[in-house]
Amino acid sequence: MLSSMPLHAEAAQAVAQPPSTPAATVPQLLGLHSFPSATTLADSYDLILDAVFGFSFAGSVRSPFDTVLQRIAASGVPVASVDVPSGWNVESGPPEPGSDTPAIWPQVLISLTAPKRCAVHFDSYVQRCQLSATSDGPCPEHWLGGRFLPPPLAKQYSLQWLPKYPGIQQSVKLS
Amino acid sequence: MATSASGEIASVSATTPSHEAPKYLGQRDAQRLDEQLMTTPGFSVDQLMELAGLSIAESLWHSCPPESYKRVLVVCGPGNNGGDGLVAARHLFHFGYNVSFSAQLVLLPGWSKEVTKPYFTGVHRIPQGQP
Repeated sequence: MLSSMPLHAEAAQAVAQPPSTPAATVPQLLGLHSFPSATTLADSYDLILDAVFGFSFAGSVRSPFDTVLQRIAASGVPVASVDVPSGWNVESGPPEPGSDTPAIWPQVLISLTAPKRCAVHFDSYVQRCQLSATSDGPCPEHWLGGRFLPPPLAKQYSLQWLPKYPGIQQSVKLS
Repeated sequence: MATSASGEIASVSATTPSHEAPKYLGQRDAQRLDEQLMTTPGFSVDQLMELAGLSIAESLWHSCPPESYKRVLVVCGPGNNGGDGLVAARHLFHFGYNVSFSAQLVLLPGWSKEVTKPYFTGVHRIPQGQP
């Protein structure tokens, strides 16, 4: 059902009705009706790149993103998260069990510039899988990207420990 | 450390908690570092986003190669994280993935323009009217 229409043709329609202010834009275009159900996600995709929330996220997940995250989590499709798994607290990590926030446990976490504190929980998750002899399938992976940190800033933020990027690569595997 | 200028030591200790390395960034430091990347070395948001997006796509090429993870949905949120995702979507297309994205969730004015550019051709937007 997901068409292969070239992006520019469809997006042109969206631009045809520019909202007056950015504040008004978001609710107007938050079309949950257009976000696939968990079943459709499972049938249509091999991987979901979660670029929903980043290091500025705080508080609780507002509509419609709560439903979006629920569908992603319920789909069972492997997730790769950009910088912070969406719904996680940037510092304290995954939502408490029983909380309303859907828990996303990505297959891959790509930290940008440097890992955020919540990634400690992801590293333990990776380690538990690696130590478990009975795990099915590949273990999750933690990658680092954003190869642009100048040494003085690395020093200021005590990030000299970050591994060197190999050769000309833009990313390096952390765990 | 002993040979560092005292000013440098002071600025390091201001952002370094006492527990042991490696240090992962707290939220405030992450935000401050992001701002400093733009003011100190003078990167533009677009430059940082392009490099971040490329590194995301490259990480995925290593960890989830297109041979096994052909169909990718990129779900973009309302902030710069979503922008990184959009750039990654474009690179993933060139890396051989079949890429869709759902930025219609939060199609901010700047991105509306971005995704209509010819260099975005090939990355598919999820059509309206999904269940």
